[in-house]
Amino acid sequence: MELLVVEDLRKYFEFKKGLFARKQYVRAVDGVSFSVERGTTLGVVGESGSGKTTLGLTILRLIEPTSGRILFNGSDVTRLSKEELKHFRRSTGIVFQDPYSSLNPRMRVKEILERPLKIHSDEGEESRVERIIKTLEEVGLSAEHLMRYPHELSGGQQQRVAIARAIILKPLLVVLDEPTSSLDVSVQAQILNLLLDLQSRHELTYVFITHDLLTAKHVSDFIMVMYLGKVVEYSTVREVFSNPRHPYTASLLSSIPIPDPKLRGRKRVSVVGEPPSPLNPPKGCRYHPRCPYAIDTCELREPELLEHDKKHFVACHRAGELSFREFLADMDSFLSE
Amino acid sequence: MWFNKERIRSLESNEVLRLFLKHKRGVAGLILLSFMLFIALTADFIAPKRFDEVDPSSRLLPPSTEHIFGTDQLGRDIFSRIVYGARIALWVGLLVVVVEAGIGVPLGLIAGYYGGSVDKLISAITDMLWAFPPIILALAIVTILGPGLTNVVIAVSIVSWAPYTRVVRAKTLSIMGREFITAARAVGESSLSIMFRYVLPNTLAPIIVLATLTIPSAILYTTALSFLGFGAQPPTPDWGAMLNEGKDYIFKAPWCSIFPGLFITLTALSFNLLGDALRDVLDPKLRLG
Repeated sequence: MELLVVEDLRKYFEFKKGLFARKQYVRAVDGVSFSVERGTTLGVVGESGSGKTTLGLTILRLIEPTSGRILFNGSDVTRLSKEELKHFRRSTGIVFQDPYSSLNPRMRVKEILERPLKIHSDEGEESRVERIIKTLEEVGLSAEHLMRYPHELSGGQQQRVAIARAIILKPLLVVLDEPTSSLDVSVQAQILNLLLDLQSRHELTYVFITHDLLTAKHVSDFIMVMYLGKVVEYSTVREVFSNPRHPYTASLLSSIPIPDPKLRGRKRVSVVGEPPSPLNPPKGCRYHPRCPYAIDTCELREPELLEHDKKHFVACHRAGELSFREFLADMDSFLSE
Repeated sequence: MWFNKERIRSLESNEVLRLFLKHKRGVAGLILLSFMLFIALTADFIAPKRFDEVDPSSRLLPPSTEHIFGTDQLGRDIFSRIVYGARIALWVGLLVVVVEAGIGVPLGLIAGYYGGSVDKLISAITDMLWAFPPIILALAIVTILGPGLTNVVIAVSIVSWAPYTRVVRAKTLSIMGREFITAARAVGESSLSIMFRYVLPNTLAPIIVLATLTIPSAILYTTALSFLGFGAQPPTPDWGAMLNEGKDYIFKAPWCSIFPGLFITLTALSFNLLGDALRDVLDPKLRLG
């Protein structure tokens, strides 16, 4: 059963240089469609500027989309009434990358977690505090942190508070926007495991945004790879990691550092240069200037996202002929751990 | 369990007070300000003479046991005038700041929060106002309203709320970019709640600093207007008016200007010390331990 269905979602940011300049658009999200089943995790992967954060904010309607449909539990999020929007807010949560910036420095933990309860229910203070403490314990904190200010907590603890805020109303969907990227490695693992634990306990559905493929692999059921506002590949974790079909995905995979000196000189799928400006994306396939496998067609025609194997969508003209297995063979043992 | 309602309440309310009491300069400012408040409130009892009691036989007398601050060009007791003048100075300073902040802060919040054309309109008005020399504009307003202390307060407030709008707007803009605002919207907070629960508390420190800076200048503006004949009418013992009257005798009888000047300085200082302390105490990030 699909909890979230996104159809042809677009978000263009207007951009105007100077008074008489022509209006330009940054196509942060440009025709993205996908769906997420209840209780599963969709990992959204891409480098910075690929539109993954904009996507996350748009599906929660924290940014208004330019066009497209977002169906949450069957109703279109883009045309909710005020009442329905409030209910939608109750059923969704978000966790950001920088936990300190995502907590109001003037509020104690108690008040941070109390606000959602005050907005969405009319229970008394006694039962609110009880619920807050229960949630704090669920995320690995305790009543002792209740009266603390965010700056009195460590980064990991702050992120636990942010997670508590996202789940305290028992939402159905949580968007996790690089929730571990700004934390120490040891804390990252704890937070990831906490997220997995909460997911299985509350049947949460996650949209997990990250630039880190290994993190995505650890938590996701499905992976969606984005490049310059477009989806280039979408499939199950196993498929994406064992049999990537898009050269960009393959290059991301082969750039994962592997702690094995014997693999130091291994063959990699290369990528050329920096990502181009999203203000002026390349014609044809957006990836073609950086793609070592580009042919003439790639410059002329934009590839569609097509289903090549079962549940394996790729947007590449050469998806049928290219295989990257040989490049990744060496990594298999490491990645399958 | 170790926590209960009372404990949470007392932690929330007492902490600010406890921290303030540990702040030495803040306490000094508070003591100084309390002293000013004390003489203002008890002026009727501690002033040896009435503030408008003229004595032609004792003009420009130096400080003595009879007139501890000396007398002015009309033979009035300067100490008595200063004690009564404290009422005017404090009242005017506070009133101006309250009115200014009351106009400027909401406008700044709205401009910064909504942005776009709302912001452009408010910023244009603010800039226009900023472009006028405040004293000239205040003069024009007082001319329309007529002389008197209340009208001076209105005039000074109207010409000088712009800094509040600017400071609050700028701070609001920077806060709006923080993720806790997006997070607040994600849990369903209304615009009003975001403005007052999330943005305003984070702009408090600059507002307090600004208020401490505007109280002295408010006192000075009203003084200037009094000197020009628009504000406090003689024989009202306005400190600034006394200072200005005294300047004609600065070499012959320096006490005529020294004491009003000293009290203006001390009052301004007390607000500044207090303001600094409040900023430190209200900003949880600056707290130690």
